[in-house]
Amino acid sequence: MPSKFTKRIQSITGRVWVFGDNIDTDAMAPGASLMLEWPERRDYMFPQHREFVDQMNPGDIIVAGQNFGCGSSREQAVHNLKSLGVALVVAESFSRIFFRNAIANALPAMQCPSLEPTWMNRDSGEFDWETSTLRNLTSGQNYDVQPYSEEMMEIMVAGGLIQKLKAQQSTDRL
Amino acid sequence: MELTLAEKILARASGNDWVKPGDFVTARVDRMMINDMFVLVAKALQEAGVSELSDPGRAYVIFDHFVPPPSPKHAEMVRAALEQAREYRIPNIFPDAGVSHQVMCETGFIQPGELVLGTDSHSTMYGAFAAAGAGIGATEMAYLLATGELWLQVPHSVKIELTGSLPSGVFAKDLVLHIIGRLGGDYGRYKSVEYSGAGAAALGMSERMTIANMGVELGTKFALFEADGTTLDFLQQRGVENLSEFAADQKAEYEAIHAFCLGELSPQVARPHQPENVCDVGELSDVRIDQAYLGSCTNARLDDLEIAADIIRGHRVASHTRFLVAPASKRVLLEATKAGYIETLLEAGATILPPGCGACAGLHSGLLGKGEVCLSSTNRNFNGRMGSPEAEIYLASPATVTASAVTGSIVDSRML
Repeated sequence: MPSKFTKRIQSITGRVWVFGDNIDTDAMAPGASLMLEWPERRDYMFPQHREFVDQMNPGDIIVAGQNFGCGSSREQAVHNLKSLGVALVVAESFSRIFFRNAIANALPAMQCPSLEPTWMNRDSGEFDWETSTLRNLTSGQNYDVQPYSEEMMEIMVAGGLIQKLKAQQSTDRL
Repeated sequence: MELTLAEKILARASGNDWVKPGDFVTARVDRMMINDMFVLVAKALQEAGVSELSDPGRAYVIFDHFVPPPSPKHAEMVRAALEQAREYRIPNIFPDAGVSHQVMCETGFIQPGELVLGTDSHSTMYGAFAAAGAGIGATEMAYLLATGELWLQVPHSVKIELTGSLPSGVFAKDLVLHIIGRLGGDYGRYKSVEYSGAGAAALGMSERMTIANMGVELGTKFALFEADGTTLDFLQQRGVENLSEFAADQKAEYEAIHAFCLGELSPQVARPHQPENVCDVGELSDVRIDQAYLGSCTNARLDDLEIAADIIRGHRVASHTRFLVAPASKRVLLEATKAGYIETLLEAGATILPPGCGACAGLHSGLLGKGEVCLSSTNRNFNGRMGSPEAEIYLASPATVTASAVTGSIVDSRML
């Protein structure tokens, strides 16, 4: 559904990487890497999906099953995906903490309960904010994506929660 | 309006008479818990140009992941976090008291009806005190510390009715593993789970803490018990007075109601690599273990150590197995020492570790190598969580962990 916010944000097009269910945040940011800097953290990411880490390009999209981002609240999981260049994550469902962390860091994480396991690695995907639709450009299938609330869009469009806080601070000082 | 526990708490926190599931609210948070992630929080605060917190007295900074520090880099990070917490005038700083959630609960910092957010997912543990507890990331915590409030969506409430009582040799950990195994690790998504019934009322605070702690493994936002006489006694013993019981309204509406009969349970084990991959301990025979780990906010309190001491007394740890015991806090370690449990564990060949998160999250002190198998009293067994992605982690109760440390393979503690 279009809103004052969806007009201010670009649609996202990219090459797709397919993940299954229950992809946990320990995998995205293992304990031993938590206090390291980027790019050292990259070497620890996704021990079971190294092909993705090694071959993905900035601008790529992740498409996943249920409960993406489950487990620990570690924000490094989101930072790592962003640093890798992931432009968008669309999943059947997200763990709530990861979902919130993604929004807070302006990493688009969209829920798509009707997503089918028919996506293949290297398909081309496109997400349109105004219609809240995900298109598989390779297969031609379209999927309805749950739009963000106004509150969530405000944070995304600001560039994240810290940017929103910064803007609030400036306003308060006036 | 008849409200569930979560609805009552979020209504009060947002200054409303009532709220309903799905509503977005701006909630004033009663207490904020921040662990070693304070460095990341401070970084975000600085980036936002925040020099003063809205109410530093509501923040509790408790280091537990990287203390004692496993490397010079970590030592420097912890020191920086300590200095930053002081600069932001946070009065409640605990540099090495133990695991954050344990310290919050045992000290009486969590009170019924409160909304408490922490930079760790096991903040659901506060639900044992009828406080809505949930984990958030460092950025959201920075925003919360700066403004005192955060947007939240009101979850749907689900009731879990408990009846009967746990048989001998079966514990709260077995119950919560059974529930996660039955309902699934994704079940609680966007939900708040409320435990009620005579079975819940009969559980002690430590048992409620174990169950609420693993609420996040059920995927739930909050995992709540009512606050009753048991809750108030516990808090009174810690100098917290003038509290009232706190329960959901009689006619509050729940999305679903599940019933579990405690008397029917047997010891449970979560197999690699998901907490929901639960089976009866009897189904696992000849699973040799290299490490038995008794630690974490889930299950390393005084009652857990007492159970371990009672089981291991007169026995020795198996020659091929390391039995690591990390009490959840310094207070637990001191009380367990005075009670003689530590001596009993040491005589049996256990290793006593500093209170803290340690190997639970693969941070330090008991990591697993390639091909190793660990049976742990902790809360997660994702692939690679405790070290090598080619290791295997099974989860169980302290009783099962201890008995298995003796035999060197996964065993029902009642067999010993």
